[in-house]
Amino acid sequence: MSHKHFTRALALLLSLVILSNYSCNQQDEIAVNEMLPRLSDYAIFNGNASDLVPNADYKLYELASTLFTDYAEKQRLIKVPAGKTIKAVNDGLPDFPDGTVIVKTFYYFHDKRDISKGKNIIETRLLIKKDNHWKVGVFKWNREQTDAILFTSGDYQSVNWIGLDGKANVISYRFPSNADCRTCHQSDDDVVPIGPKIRNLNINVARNGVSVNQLTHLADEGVLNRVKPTWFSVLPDYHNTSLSVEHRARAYLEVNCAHCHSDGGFAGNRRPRFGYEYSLQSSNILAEKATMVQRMGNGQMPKLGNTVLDKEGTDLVIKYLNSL
Amino acid sequence: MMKNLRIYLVIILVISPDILIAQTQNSLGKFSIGITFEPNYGYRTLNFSSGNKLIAEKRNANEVFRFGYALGMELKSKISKNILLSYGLQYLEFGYNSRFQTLKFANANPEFPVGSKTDFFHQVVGIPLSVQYHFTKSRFNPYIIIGVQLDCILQKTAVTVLEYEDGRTNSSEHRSTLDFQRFPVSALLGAGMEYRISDRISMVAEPLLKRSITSLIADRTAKEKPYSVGLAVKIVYKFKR
Repeated sequence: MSHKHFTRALALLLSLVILSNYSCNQQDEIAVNEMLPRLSDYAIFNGNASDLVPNADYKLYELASTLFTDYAEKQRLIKVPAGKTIKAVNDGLPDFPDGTVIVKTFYYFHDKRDISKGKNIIETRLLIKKDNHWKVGVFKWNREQTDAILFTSGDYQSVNWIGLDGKANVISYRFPSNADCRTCHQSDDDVVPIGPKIRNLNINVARNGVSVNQLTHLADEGVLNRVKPTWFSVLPDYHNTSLSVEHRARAYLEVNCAHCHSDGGFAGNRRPRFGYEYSLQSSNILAEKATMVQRMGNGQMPKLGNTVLDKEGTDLVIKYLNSL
Repeated sequence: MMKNLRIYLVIILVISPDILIAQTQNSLGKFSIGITFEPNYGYRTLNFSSGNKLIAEKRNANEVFRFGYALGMELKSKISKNILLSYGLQYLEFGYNSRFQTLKFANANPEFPVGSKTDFFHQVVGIPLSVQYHFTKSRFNPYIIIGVQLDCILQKTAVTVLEYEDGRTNSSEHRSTLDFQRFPVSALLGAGMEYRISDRISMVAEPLLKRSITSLIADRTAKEKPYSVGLAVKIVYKFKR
């Protein structure tokens, strides 16, 4: 190659780099404007925000099995526009109306043995359905615990608490960027919720001192269409040691792995399918057994969403895989 | 944009052979191979949109420079009397450190750590591509370097070190392979001094500035661009004169 050719090639490369930077800048404001800048702009909480008491139009919901996120506690809320309801169509994700807001707040008790010592609220994530598409927003709580600000870049923060065993825990907590959000919530080119599948909501919850089926309760609250809980399957609670290892492990894989390992998911091109609806044969778990043991055991999986190994969850899945 | 254009014009002027090739004979080898080690000192710039500005302020307050390094091999081809094309393959690590953070727990306990700090670094395979303009043919041969480097980030690692009151430390490591742009491109600018030990073997010292052109963050509203200042030390073997 002559130096003239090299000069031209280098000039072309630099031009492309500069132009790609410039076109990215043009898109910045569009992305930022999709969400309001402060969590308080959404009027989710009543009174002191740090008490996490929701306003009347935000309804608390719980999941049978939950995603592991570095031992964080989570509060889940949902709001649907007045006069509209979520429609349960099968065991999977229901049909959410436009204007639905899903709120997940992550926090740590200072001392998990004594929650009266207070909590450290870390972040709140919003999923808002608009024009038939879900928008994501990550809000980081301030030091005073009075509000949270929207950001899209991702971040780390040192978080510490005392666990149930009385030991000190310190982690470098990872806040997801918007790109990270889309990675886990990806379904083809769109974004979808992960947790609130009907089978994961179909559990008994305590409301006003009474145990009620959550699907019935959400219908009573006007959030969900009226359905019979018996129409749907129930996802096991993987923490429930009275259940079989198989059911617990499959529930764990459903909530921690299936969102990526699904058709249209981030790892959809790889064969294993971890959705609870797949049989053992159709899931391809048997063929992937050795890889799963290796990758989960050394913390390579999951690739996003936590910074420490979920020892209990990993042990559960490995115990299940070894039983196959 | 204007700033980028100015840089671009300077680059073109510097590497334009019509302007810069000196009319001298020299003894640059036609082809050479070298091994290189570059300790460097690096950090990053943050250019965040309004929605992320508080994060940028907090990060700038909490994060500091970090020592990194690059290790690799380099090939050089002579493309004119004074100009060499340099390319190679490197393994490098760069990143930044967090400042020491004091930890407070709900219950005082002498067994609990009193502080922590975290070392964030990327492990990378890089392909540097540069042109070198050599001024003389003497035993001491100074030159200038300009080029680009394409990196492939293998993973990002965060090592958190806990410090205890009695001086003990304890560390934990987290690796991520997703939450960054995989292929950042950097600009290279530097100078070098080649000392010819024999006809075929030279020692080289190159102060080098590396500045990322593209962002490390996979988010369009926030730009994180690492940069480093290093001193590359090389041993070069020339195959042909």
